[in-house]
Amino acid sequence: MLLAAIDWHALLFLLFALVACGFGAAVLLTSNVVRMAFYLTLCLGATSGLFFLAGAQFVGAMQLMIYVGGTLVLLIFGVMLTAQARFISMKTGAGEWILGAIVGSSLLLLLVRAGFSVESWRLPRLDRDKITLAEGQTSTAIGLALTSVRVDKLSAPNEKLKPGMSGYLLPFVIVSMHLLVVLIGAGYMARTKRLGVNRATDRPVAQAPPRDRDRSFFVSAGLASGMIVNLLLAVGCCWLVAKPLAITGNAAPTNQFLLQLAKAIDAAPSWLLPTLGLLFLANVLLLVVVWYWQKWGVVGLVIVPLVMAFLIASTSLGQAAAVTIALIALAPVVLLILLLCSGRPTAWSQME
Amino acid sequence: MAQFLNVEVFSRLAGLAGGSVSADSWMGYAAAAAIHILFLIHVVAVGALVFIWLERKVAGRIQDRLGPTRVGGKFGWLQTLADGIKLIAKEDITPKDADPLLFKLAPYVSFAASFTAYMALPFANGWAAQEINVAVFFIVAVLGLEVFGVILAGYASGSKWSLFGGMREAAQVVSYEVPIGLCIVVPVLIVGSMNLVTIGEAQVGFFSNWLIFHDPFTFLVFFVYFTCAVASVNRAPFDLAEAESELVAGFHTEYSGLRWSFFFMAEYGSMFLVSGLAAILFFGGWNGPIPIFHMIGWAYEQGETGWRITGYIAQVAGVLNFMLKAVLGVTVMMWVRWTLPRLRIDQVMTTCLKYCVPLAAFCFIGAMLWKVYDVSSPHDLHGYTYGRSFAETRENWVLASEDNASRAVGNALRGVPESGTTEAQANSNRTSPHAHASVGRGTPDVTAPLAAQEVN
Repeated sequence: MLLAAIDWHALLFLLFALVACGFGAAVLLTSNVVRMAFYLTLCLGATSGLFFLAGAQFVGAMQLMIYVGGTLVLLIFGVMLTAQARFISMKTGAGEWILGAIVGSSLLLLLVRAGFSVESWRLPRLDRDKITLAEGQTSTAIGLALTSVRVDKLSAPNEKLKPGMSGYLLPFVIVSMHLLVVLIGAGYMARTKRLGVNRATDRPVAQAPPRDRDRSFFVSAGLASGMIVNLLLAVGCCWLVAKPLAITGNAAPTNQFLLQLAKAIDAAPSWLLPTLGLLFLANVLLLVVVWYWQKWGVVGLVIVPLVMAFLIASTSLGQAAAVTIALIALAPVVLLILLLCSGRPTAWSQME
Repeated sequence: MAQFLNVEVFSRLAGLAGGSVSADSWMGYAAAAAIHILFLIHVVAVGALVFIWLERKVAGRIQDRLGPTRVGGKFGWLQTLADGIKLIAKEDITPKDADPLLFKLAPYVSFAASFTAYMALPFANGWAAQEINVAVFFIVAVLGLEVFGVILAGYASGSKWSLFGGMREAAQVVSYEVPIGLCIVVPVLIVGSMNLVTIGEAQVGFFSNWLIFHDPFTFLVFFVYFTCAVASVNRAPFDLAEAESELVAGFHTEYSGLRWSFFFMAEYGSMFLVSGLAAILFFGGWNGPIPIFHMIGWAYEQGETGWRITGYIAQVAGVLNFMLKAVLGVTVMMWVRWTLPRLRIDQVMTTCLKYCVPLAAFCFIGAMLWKVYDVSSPHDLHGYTYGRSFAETRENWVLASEDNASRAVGNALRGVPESGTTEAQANSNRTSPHAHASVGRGTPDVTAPLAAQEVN
C-alpha cells in the first residue's frame, strides 16, 4: 500500500520544520510589528511541535508556556501599549539588511558546523526499527535532575564526568527565589498608592488627618492580658530551660500535672523549649502590633499557634498534644478576633 | 481500537471483496484517529450549542423569565440551531481600518487553542486523545494561548472598543495564570504525577477519596481554582473584555456571522475544559461517588489490557460521570454570571494579587505540610478502597525512576558505551508504571484503557 509505505514520522517532522522555518523567514520579511509577533508565535509553536514529535513532552509544553506565552506578553506590553504609529510599520534600510545578513549567516555557519561535527548525526541510522521513543517519560528524569540526581550522569563512562551528578537543586532554588522576589516586587510596584499626587495641580495631596480611633475596654483588656500571659509563658520556658524539672528523686514534683509536664519536656528534643519561648515572645510583639492598629498582627497571631502545633507534632510528643496546644493557643485568638469585630464602629474597620 | 477496527471491521469487509487486511494496517489507525477527532469536535461544537441554550434557560429562570420556549417543540431546545443558521446567513464584514489578515485569523487562533487543550483531557480511564505524561502542564500552557486570539482580534479590528477589550483581557489572563498554576500544583503534589489519567485513577473508590476531601487545604484551594478559572475563561463577573455597558461588545465588536460564533465556541469550549479539569483534579474525574462498577466487578482491573463488553460499559459510565461533573461546573459558572455584578478592573487585579495568590500559596504550603507529616485524611477513616492509594501511585513512580537509574548504573558498570541511553529508555518504557501497550504511536488505543496503569 502506498500510504503504509510513507514514513509518517519523517513527514510530520518535515511539515513542522517547514512551518517553523517559513514563519521564521516571514518574521524577517514583514514590516508590521504585530504581524511579526504573530508569525513568531507560529514559528515557536511549530518548534514545540517538533519537541512533541521527538517525545519530549515536558520540553514541548515548556516551549509553549515560556516562549509562545513570552512572545504574547512581549506583544501586549512591548508593542500594543507603547508603539506609536511610526513604530507599527518598520522600514529596514539596506545597511541594516547587510549587517543583519552578516551576523545571521555567521551564526548559521557556526550552527551548521557544530551540527555536522557530531559523528552520529551525519548519516541516517539504519537500525531505525530498534529506536523506541521515550514516550514522555523524559519528565521524570528532568524532575529527578532538578531535585536530586541526574540519571544520565549515572552512566558516565569515567570518573571525570561524574561531578555534577547531584543535579540542579541549587540553581533551581535560586531561580525560584528570584521569581518569587520578582512576583512580590511586581505586586509592590503596581500597588495603588494611598497618598497619590493630585494630577490636576501636580502637588501632593495633604495627608488625611489621623482618625480618632477608640479602643473598647474589652479589646484593651484582652490585648493586655494576652501580653501578660504570653510574657509569663515565655519566661516560664526560659526558666525551664535554665532549671529543668527533675523527674525522679526528692526534687520531683508531687503534683500529678507537673510530673506529666516534666516527663513530656524530658521526652522532647532540646531545641523545642527555647523555640517555644521565642514564639511566645513573638506573640507578645504581635499583640503590641495589634495594639497599634495593624491588621497583619492578627494574621501573625493565627500563624504562630499553627507553627507551634507543627513543631510539637514533629517531635515525639505526638499529634494529640500538638492539636491540644494549638486549640488552647487558638481559642484566645478567636476570642480576640470576635472582640475586634464587635462594637460600633468595629475595631477591625479602624485598623490598617 | 485501531487493531480492533482492523480485525473486526476492515478484514471482514475486505473478505467480502476477496482481499485481506492485517491487524497493523494503516486503515485502522486512520479510522480510529478520525473517530476520535469527530468525537472531540462534537464535544466542543455541539457542546457550545447545548451550553448556549442552557445559558439562556438558566438566565431566564434566574431573572424570573421563561427563556426560549418555542423553537424545536418543548423547552425551545433548537433555539441555538436557529441562531446558528441565522449567523451563517449573515454578511461577513471586515472594517475599513482593520488589518485584514489578522482580523480573519483571530477567531481561528482562539478556537484552535481552546480545542488543542482537549487533546490531553481524558474523558475516562485512559480515554484521552493523546495521553501525555505532563498533561496538566500542557493544558495550562495551551489555555494561556487562547487569549492570543482575543488580543489579535482586539488589535486587528481597528476600533478603540476592541483594543480596550483586548488589553483588559490580556492583563487579566496574564495575572490569573499565576494563582491558577499554584492551585493546580496542589493535586499534582498530593498524587505525585502530572498525568491526568493517573490523577483521576488515584481517586477511585468512594467519594471520600476525592482530592477535594483530602484535607482542608485542598477543599479551600478548589474554590480559589474555580474563581481563577472563571476569570481565566473570561466569564462574568470577570468579563471586562466584552463589558457591553462600557465597550459595546469589547474585542468582538466588529465581528459578525460565523467568525463571531467561533469566539463563542472557544469560550464555551474553555469553560467545559476548566470544569473538566476541576472534575479530574478535585472531584475524582470519571469515578462516581460510589464505585458500583468496581463492586460488581465490571470495571477493568489494574493492569488488564484485554477488551470486554462489561469493562466497556463501565468506561462509558465513567465518561457520563465525567461529563456530568463538567456540565455541573459550567452550570455553576452560568449561575455565577447571572448572580454577581461585573467587577471593576482594579477589583479584578485586587482579587487576583491580594486574595487568590496568597490563598493559593497558603494552601500549597498547608497541603505540603499535610503530606510531609502524613496526617490522615477522612478517607482513611473507613477501609473501603478500590485501586491504589496515593502512596502506592507515588511509590510506583519512584520505583520506576530508580529502576531506570539502576539500569543505567548497571550499563555503566558493564561498560556499555553510548548505546546505553537508548537501551535505558527502552527499558524505562517496559518498566514504567504508565507504559503504553504501544499499539500505535500517536494513535490512542481505546480497547486497552488500563494499559496506562500497568503495574509491574
